[in-house]
Amino acid sequence: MEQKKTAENLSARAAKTGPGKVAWWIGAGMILMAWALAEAWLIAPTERTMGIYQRIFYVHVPGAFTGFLAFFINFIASVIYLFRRSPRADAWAVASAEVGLAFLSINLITGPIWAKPVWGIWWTWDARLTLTLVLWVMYASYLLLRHLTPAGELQPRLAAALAVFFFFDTPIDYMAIRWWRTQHPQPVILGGPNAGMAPAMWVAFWAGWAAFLVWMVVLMRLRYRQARQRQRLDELRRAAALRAS
Amino acid sequence: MSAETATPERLPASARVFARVLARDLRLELRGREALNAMLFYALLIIVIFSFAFEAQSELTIHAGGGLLWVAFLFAGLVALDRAFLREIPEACLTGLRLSPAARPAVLGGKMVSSFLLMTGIELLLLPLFAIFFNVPPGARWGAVIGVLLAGTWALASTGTFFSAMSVHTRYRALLLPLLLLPLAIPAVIAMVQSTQIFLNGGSGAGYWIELLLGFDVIFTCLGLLLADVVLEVG
Amino acid sequence: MAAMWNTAPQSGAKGEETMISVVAAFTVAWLALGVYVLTLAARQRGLERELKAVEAEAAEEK
Repeated sequence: MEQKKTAENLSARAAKTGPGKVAWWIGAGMILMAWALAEAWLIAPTERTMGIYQRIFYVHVPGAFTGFLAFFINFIASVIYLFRRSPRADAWAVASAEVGLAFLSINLITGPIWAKPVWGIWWTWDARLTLTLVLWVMYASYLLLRHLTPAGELQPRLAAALAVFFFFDTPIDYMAIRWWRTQHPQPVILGGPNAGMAPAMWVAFWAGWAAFLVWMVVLMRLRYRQARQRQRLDELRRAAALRAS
Repeated sequence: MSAETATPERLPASARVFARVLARDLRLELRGREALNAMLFYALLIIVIFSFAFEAQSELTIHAGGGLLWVAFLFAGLVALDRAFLREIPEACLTGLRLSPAARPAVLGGKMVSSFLLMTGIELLLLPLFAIFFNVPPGARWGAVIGVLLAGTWALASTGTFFSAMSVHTRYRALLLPLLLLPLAIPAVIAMVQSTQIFLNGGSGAGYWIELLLGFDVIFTCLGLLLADVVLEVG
Repeated sequence: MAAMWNTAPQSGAKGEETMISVVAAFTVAWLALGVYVLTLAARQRGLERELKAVEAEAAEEK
């Protein structure tokens, strides 16, 4: 009971916190976005074989990396929830899953736009494409489970269990799909000795990723606040229902 | 929950719980044979529909037999998995199960095994029909196919029973179960389809697929039992 | 495949290539984020309205 009371106070406080410092983050995001755009479109040198289309890389890959990072945060938050049953961990879990899905969607949309002129096809069931699609499907189904479970203590519990399952599934997926087929260009980051980018390309890549990371922080904070307010709303409703009965 | 199961008293408590849940579930399914018959008929219909949809010829079987077989098993299995916890809804059995002091991993384990046995039974009955309808080439290694069938069915039964315990609380229960199970089962599905395909064509060298499938089985059985408290807890 | 790209960058695009795909990719990407922000904002308004109503109700009963 005591614990419940503190949780209620905390959620009341979180629900009242205004956007505050988020405005600064949004400003930083805007500036980084403009810089990333200039780097990717104008400053970075044109790649030899893929030509101008390689510039899509600077939005495509940061989208994926940001999405993966958000999913990792989702796993950590879910494990913390399972041990501590803290509503705040659950709010981080839902925020990171949704934001991660948004960034992974960017990766999946920009991929075919690049693939059409370079490969001549929109989509192929190659290892990395398939794995990304599978991850997207997983976290979409995670959000669906949250959506379809009645509000209350059950929802975060089931969601956390599912998040742990999906996290452990990812490496197995990676192996299965890799054996299944591979067509994607080899990694240029942490790739073999000849795989590497020119320094100016690295700058464009880091600029793009930095912009996305800042936006990830902004979006996750906003979504986290929403999740906390939703928890507060559910609490108040339960209390009202108790009084009525 | 009838309890006249022959379980020696000297077994540890969780083993007794496991055996009772398993025996009770199997007894319930075999007693009300309608559901079992319906599931079997459903799986048979899937195979029949496939043969119309894809022009069943041995050429097709050589290229895609493993896939056809497993899609049929998957759909039939989903019905069985949905029933694993649906069975507990009447007479508030689910609440009883969750309130009972019985070890929850043992309860879940019992249900995993009962789902596994039901699914395996249906699949073994369908396998000869599949061989006939789809003109499986004579060199097929049936022993190995059945081995893959057991490992693959365990992969679906163990994870599916866990998700069945989850989805039983949700809206659109019957729809949500495949939406949770299918994304998770993708690596297992790739492995069982690929290895079944190899064995149906009488080949060998599916070693790494079998290893992957067994790895999936071990990891998710352990994870499911570890998290049994989370899905079966009162709440 | 590994050595095929970005080892020796060149300046200047090939003749027939255009920026259209690149512009489209970036536009779609940032547009997707924009749509998400708008969705969040709409949800926020609805949530705050609900919260206000429920809080007022609770205060009334006390």
